[in-house]
Amino acid sequence: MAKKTISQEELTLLKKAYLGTCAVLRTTSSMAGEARAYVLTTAPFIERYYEDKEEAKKELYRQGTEYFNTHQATNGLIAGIVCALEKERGEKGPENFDSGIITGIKASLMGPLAGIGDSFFFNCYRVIIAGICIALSEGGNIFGPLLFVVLYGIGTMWFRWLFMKLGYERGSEFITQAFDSGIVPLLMKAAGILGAIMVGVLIATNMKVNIAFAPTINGAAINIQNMLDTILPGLMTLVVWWLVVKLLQKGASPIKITFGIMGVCIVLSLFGIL
Amino acid sequence: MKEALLVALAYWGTWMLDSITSNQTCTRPIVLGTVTGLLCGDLKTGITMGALLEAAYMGISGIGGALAADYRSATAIAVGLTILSGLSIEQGIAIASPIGLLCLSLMQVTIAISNLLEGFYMKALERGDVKKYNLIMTLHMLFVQHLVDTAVVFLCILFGTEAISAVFGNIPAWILNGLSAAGGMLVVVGLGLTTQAIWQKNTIVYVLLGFVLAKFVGLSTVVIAIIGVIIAYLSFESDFRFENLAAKKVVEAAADEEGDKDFYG
Repeated sequence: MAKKTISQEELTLLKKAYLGTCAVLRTTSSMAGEARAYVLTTAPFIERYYEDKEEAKKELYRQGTEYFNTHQATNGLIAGIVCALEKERGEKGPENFDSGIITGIKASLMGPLAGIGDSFFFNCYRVIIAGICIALSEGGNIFGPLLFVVLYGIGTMWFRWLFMKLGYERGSEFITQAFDSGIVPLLMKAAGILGAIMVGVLIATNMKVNIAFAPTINGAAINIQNMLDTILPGLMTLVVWWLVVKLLQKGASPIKITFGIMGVCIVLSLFGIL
Repeated sequence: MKEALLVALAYWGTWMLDSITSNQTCTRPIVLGTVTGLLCGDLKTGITMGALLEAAYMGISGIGGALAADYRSATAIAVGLTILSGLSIEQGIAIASPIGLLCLSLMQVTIAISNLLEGFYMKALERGDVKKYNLIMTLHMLFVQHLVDTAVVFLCILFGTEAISAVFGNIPAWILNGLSAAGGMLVVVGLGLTTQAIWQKNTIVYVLLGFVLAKFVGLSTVVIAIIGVIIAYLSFESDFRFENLAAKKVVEAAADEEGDKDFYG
């Protein structure tokens, strides 16, 4: 696993290529996926090595439009590896370089890295940051949304740059080794633990289930909500959460569940239970 | 008219910020809600609703381009209508869910338009003109990409403000009460989706831990997050050591077998 040192010129090119990765979600299409951004990512390297070879340039750009789709942060790793290979191809000349390698790396890494990116950035990193920022926003505190932009927005972009440098320096063997060593599932498990704890916090702080039903028996009003609260405050929120998780695991669509909850709430409200 | 334009501007502007940086941050409810509130002149409601909707759409992200609800237009329209029609926050949250579902088809329109423009992109590349390619992409983003959905947000606010006041002024109290109760509960769908995505053997134990720390111990979210990081690290470390040990055992067993062979052979 040879680690390359990056020269000043390479760093400049890599920074330009990073601006290309910022186009991943600019416009996408069914045919190209995020590939339009790929053209822009490799452009600084292609322009550097094929300045006056118009035909070679066109062919390389055409290759760049092959369908591509992954997570925007972990895309940095693939972008870094592809840039390093693009440099190698530029130095050796396209005739001495197997173009299939670049296509192969993009095609084989985009799936697994999208999975890791989705589960880490969407289901762990964002859940934690959103959890903190939602709590901060209470009472209309502007600090909450601002912190979210800094930690999640700028944070993800910073991760993408780190990944890109890592991919450029270490190449594809690095990722293959990480997968082979079995460390990836362990990291995913740890991220899942963190996500689960934050889900618990969000149930406690953001869900409200209030039972208004208070029947009068022999002249004494029985407040069901108070009774439940003495057993465990928020017990009903946990019950509702558990039901929804079970329904989702049985394959119910979130859309149906949303309408179901609204319908049940309106019906229960009619009978004075909620 | 002016208000509708401002809400549409909030929606379009945050979309542009996200498109330029390839992020999904500024269109998240917590930020979009805040911006919508700011432009509609009620920052406090904007932030409060944005935070509630962020929790409600917690588990919803564009995974593989597919969304379970269009949280962006739902946030802009719900926050806009709540402030401009004077609804309660719970009612606003409750109307966000159906809007999010109805607007889901807008994504398809956006993609379809993008597909139609593929020809322009190909032509620029055939000439090897990457500068022009970049320009087409930028113009497409600025003037075409979110034209239809921004127009829908604009029209919803333009015609919805009075309509929604009339509706909420005339429907029976028990429906309003039911919608408000649902508004307090709908967070569960987003949290359920997150739970489902991270589901593993002990998930429920950790969810209970987070719940107890927040509800009974009353710790702040930041403190619980730090405790969470420590627990996650300890779990990772012990798993890692266990895995290494297991791998070593396998190697040793293989070596033993080799040794046995030598001994008897």
